[in-house]
Amino acid sequence: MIRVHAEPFDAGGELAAFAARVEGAGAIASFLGLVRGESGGADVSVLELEHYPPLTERTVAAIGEDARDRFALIGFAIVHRTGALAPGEPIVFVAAAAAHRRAAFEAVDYMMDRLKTEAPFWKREHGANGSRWIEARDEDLRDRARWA
Amino acid sequence: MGVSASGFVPVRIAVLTVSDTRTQETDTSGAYLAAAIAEAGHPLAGRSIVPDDLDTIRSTVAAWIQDPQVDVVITTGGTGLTGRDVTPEAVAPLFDKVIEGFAVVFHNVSFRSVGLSTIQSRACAGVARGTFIFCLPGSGGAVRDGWEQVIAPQLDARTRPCNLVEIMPRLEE
Repeated sequence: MIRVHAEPFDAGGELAAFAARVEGAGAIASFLGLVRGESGGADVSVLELEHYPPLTERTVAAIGEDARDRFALIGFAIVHRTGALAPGEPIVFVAAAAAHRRAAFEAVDYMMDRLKTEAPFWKREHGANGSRWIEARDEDLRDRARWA
Repeated sequence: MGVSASGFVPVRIAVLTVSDTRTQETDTSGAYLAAAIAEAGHPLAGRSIVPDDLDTIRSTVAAWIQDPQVDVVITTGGTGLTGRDVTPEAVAPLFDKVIEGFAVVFHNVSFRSVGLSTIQSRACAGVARGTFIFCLPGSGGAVRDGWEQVIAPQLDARTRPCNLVEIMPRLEE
């Protein structure tokens, strides 16, 4: 299941709904990403996310499906916010259900590394010192390369 | 070039991503351009990723300029101010004419998105042997701004009062 939308989501509710949906799982791992209030030493007041829906949905779905194949998942969930977000707000929720915990943990790590580097979200940071586009950092690209 | 009933004229566009770190999988700006070009109705004439290396960038763009199957080249990346950013140095010597207005208009558009941060980009454009070349920054948002608000409308023959497609037959007069 994937969703990309501007409306806020409730991570606890997402996890409960996911757990109710997957049958026969022995392990569910999940990750919740929050908007950071600081970036490069400067305070961030708003993080604004825009995207190109035809490409985003295809890319995000492919990431989930690749994780399902690679880690033999029973199910996965990816929820990504768009729009204007304040520091501390949930921005991304990822969950994986598998027979055993290792596959579930690794699948969540894998999906996040690929989301950070492959999903075409345009992130714009607005702070006291002005605005700028945010790109994947070299660190993110190195993390992604672990799964090659 | 075929003209449709609506007056739209498809042009063949090649996309070059310039980056030391991006791969086929992580080239989100190139992927966006390829998808947006197709959505606009233009054929993608080529797509490549090269490192921030002056000679490699120049030879790739030069080959597309010489290729009669390529009408337009769009590059993304390497327009910043760091030592590794050499796209303008690689491409500008190929230009017969510099399209100064492109940089002016791009910075106006970009200023509305990110304010003064736009001065860190050296986006540029030119004409070389009948081929239009546009050099955009690497960041996805700047590429979107440049494509949607400047390049796409100028590569649409229906854009009035003037566009770049209608003068293509006269570039090599």
